[in-house]
Amino acid sequence: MTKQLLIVFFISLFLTLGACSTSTKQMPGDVISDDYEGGDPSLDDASTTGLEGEGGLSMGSLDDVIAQSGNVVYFDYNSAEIRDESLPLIMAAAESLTANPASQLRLEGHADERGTREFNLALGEQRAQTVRDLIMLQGVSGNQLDIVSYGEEKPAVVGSGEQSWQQNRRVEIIQ
Amino acid sequence: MKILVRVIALSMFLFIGQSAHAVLEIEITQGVEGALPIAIAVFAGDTYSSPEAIETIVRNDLARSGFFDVLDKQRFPQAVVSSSQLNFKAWRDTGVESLLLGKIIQSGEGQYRIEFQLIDLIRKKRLLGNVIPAGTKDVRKVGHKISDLVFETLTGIRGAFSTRVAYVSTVSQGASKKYVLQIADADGYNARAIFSSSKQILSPAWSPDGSRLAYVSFESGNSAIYIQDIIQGTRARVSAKKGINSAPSWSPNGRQLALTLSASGSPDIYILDIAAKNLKRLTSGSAIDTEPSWMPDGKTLLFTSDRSGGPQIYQVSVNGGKAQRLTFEGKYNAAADVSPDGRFLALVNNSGNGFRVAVMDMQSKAMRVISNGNLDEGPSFAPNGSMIMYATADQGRGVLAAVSADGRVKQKLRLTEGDVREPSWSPFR
Repeated sequence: MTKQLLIVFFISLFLTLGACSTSTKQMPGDVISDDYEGGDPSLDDASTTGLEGEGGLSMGSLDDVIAQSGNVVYFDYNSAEIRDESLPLIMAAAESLTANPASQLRLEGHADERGTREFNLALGEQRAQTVRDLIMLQGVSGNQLDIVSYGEEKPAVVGSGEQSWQQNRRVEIIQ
Repeated sequence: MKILVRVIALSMFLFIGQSAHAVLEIEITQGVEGALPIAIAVFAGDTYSSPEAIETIVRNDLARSGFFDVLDKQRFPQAVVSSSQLNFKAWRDTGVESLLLGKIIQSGEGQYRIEFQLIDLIRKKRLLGNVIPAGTKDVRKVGHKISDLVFETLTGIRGAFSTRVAYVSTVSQGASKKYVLQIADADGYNARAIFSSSKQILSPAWSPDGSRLAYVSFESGNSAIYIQDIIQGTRARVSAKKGINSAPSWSPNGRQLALTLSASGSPDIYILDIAAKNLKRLTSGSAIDTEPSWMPDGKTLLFTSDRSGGPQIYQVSVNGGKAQRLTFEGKYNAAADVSPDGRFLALVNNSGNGFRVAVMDMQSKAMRVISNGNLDEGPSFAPNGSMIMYATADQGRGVLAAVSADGRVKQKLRLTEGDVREPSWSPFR
């Protein structure tokens, strides 16, 4: 996965070395403006380059990503850290918000049942905030994101044990 | 500290009338060494006899407190008699030092006179005696009153048997859930719903005068804090800011609520003046600060903070300023509830063996674990400091349990349907 990311990154970097405007004569190293998606690729933003179907990060719409792998970001115990595998969903969400500045997403934060209810309310919010912060780092306005924490009060799976708990430590991205 | 009353024998005439259908059942799940045995005897008399009522109420009250233990009926040295026929030596030989005799006489349609006397078998003296008139619906109240009087006479501590508990129960209705904020007698009887919702309810807290409950409700789609007048049934929303609004805790004078707000970006402790509607911020920083709890002198607050890495209990002045860390044992300490005399904290502790209720001495900082579940939470002191109610799991279902403050006697109060959690013990009436 990482290797493909790097390839995508370097190719996109290569493509932007030339001018963005169209040129009448194709020279080696020139930007091929038809293929180039535009925008200003930054080091972190490999997903916006114009290499369709190259694998690595999904370039599909948010709906596509959700249809494929769900709308939920999962977390480790007592942690609000984003796992690598959550990045496609979060980036797709950021993209969707960027493309539609009038649109909004709600981030619902949750925790598993261990520990006190009030502390878990705060932990759920922390998780939602971490997702929000990452989305906002992509240039999305905070106005487009709404946060609610339910703590441990709305488990996805009722029951004790890690099988259940890991499914409850989550942020749901709601359109 | 505890007066070592050896044994109290209870002899009560059994009362007729329907036993209240208890939604919370009581069972004593752990006995105690060195407890004070109680005997319950049927008192021969000229009135009705049937199971339940005063004898059972008093027996359960005194046993649940952890100070007393009930003498088995099979060990009674004589059939219940009037006080004039008592064979003192025979009773003392069973280990009993005190004997509670009672009689219920019908005085009219649905009207009774409940007579009782508490006898010191060693000094052969009557310690207590009274007659209480009661209608059928007052029977439980009278029973608890008798328990209070016996308890106070023999321990020197004010009885808390006439108090109440608020809690949240959840019931599944098909695919959805119903959340109900309920109040019951402290033994679980006479439960009644005071607020019902399809959305989550959390953290009920009694006002110091027992007339109102503050609680968190998600009915608006986000957490918000409400205060409800229990008698009138009226309610007001007192905090609905962006982010978390939760963990309400009444000041000792009943005029302020400490609460948790995360509108600033991370959860912090604030004090809300209820009448003036203004807020004072007590903590700041990016850590989670929540679960405020007032010290009885109203000058400082305890709260939970993970500023040192994991949740621990801190103390801060009501004027804000530097917070002092109180707990150092275990990786997780939260949900502190201060004892009425301010000398102890009940809290949730995890030292590697799961989440348990512990009691910490504020002076020595010594901590003793008093529950034995894996997911115990929500400890709440009785207003006399002698017992703690908390939420635990039993066979996959949420139940409440009451434990004596020294951890020696536990009793589960089981709801017959759904899950029960978030207990809050009322003040004295």
